[in-house]
Amino acid sequence: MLNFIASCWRTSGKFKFGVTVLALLVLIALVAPLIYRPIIGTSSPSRPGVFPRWQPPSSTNPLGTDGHGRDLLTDYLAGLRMTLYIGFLAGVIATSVGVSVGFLSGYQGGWLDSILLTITNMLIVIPSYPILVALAMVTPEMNVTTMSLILALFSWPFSARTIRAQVMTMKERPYVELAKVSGQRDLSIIFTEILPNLMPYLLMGFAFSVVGAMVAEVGIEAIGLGPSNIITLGLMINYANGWGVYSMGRMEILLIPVGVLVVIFAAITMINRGMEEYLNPRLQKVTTES
Amino acid sequence: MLKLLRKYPILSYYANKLFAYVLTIFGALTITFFMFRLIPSNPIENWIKSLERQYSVSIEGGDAMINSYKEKFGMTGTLWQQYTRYMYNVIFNLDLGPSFINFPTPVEDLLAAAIPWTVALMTVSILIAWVLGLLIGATAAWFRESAISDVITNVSITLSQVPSYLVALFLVLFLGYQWKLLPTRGAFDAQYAIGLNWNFIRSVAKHSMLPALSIIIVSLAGWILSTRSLVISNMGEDYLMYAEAKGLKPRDIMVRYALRNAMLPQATGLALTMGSMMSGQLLIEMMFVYPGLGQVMSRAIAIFDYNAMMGIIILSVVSVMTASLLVDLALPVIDPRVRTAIKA
Repeated sequence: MLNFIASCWRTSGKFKFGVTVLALLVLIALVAPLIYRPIIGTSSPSRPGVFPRWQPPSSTNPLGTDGHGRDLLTDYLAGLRMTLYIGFLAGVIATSVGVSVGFLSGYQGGWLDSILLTITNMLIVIPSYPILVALAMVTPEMNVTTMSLILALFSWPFSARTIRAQVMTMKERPYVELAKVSGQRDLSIIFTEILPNLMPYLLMGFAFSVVGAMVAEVGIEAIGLGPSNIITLGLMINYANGWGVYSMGRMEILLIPVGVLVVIFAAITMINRGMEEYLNPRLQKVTTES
Repeated sequence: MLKLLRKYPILSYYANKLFAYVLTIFGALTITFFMFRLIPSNPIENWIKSLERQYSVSIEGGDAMINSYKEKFGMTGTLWQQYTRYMYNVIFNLDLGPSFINFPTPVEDLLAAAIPWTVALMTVSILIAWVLGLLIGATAAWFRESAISDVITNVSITLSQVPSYLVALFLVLFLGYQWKLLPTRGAFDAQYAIGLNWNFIRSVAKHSMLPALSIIIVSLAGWILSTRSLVISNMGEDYLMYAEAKGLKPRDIMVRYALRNAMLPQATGLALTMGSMMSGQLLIEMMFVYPGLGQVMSRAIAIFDYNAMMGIIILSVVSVMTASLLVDLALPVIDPRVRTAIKA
């Protein structure tokens, strides 16, 4: 896997760019508490009324405060942190379920495969957004984990389908046949022969699930149905709309979270594109000579 | 019967596709039905509360009243009885039940009023994005060594996965508020009579501008990228070199050979995108208070109107599946390679 990442890094400028930007954002998210703790002390970033409302930038609040009496810099930093975290967690859950189902389906084949594939296809055609919103509405005490679980519920079928297709081509390869003939057990074949070769696809599937989960996440939070006790970039968009930041002349309160989200989506897409171009050189521009 | 299928593989291909079509729709509806019913909620209470708020009265509802409404909404009996009754009504009577959000209007009528708005907005946006995407994508492929092509490609990659509601937020802020160029809410100005008159049409066009742009920008990026890679991968083919050797003009080679060969996958993609129009952009419609299906959805979710929510999901599942069935059925007719693959 490290080999694959290194090759992508060498061959694709897009991959390099995306990884650099994303790494920077993740780094900011990781060190965020070091920045906002001195400002808000030990209270939760989402606690309202810690400061007076709508303060201009000052030495205590570098960017001023928001309409709920919270520090704005803290809002952005904690929002970035939680948005990335929820997207990542949902992506991990969705990919693990998707990979397991995909393996079972593709490796076993037969009846089990038909049944799993049919269920996967059914889930893919159901429009997920209305159901996600309905689930989000009735879930009491929404927290990061329940939110991620809800988001993962509808994004695993996509990776299941991709992984299944790859496993089906891979189990016909000579090295797998050889392992079978030499009496290796199925599980050990899966882990030693197939899984390592699937890593690139797994990474791509993971990146897609993270993007998918974050798109749905922000969509739910922006209309105010996410967990209201956790600051995220989506929740900031919702607040900004509620405060009417435009008529207050504070457009940046809306533009910052929207802009950061666009950068996150663009970075992950660049990474994915870089991996895709490496795996499928037809997508690059200089492929026609061969 | 089986003999016939074995003799004509194309028949068994069609039979397979049809069977999968029916099964997937049926299964998807079953999953959705149980998912909604198993989510703990109390639509009737919500509904009565919303009526009380709306008319600022207090409704003294005894159990008798609640039960009579439960019966009207198909909520009596065991879950299994509710399910079989619902599916029977949907399949054999095309009856989606009454809606709560607009009681007692049947859900079919509610959807029928919203569908034209959604279909008009989406069809126009999808077509504009598709045509522009083909043209720009092919141009970017043709001049693939130029800086302009790189810029187009990288901008498209950047935008291709950004959700359209974020683009919509930008557009609303700048085109709507900052420069006050375009209206940001509703589908027309209320002072004009609905109908085929110039003022109304102009008002509708103006109101649909921002939602349409938000949808177009994102899907345009996707079409540019896919067209570009399709055309580029065609460029290495021998028949293109032959065309060049024949002395055809570059423009002709591009339009008649490179682009033409990208048309089949792109037309298929267009058909599938058309199929997903019913559910593709519900959030955009909610944001712009556009009177399409998104609006029905957001009102239905607010009080957990099972029937209306199911109605929208049925509509969306059936249209996605029908588009993909049509593509599957048409492909062997259009593309000889598919025919050969089926026979093999």
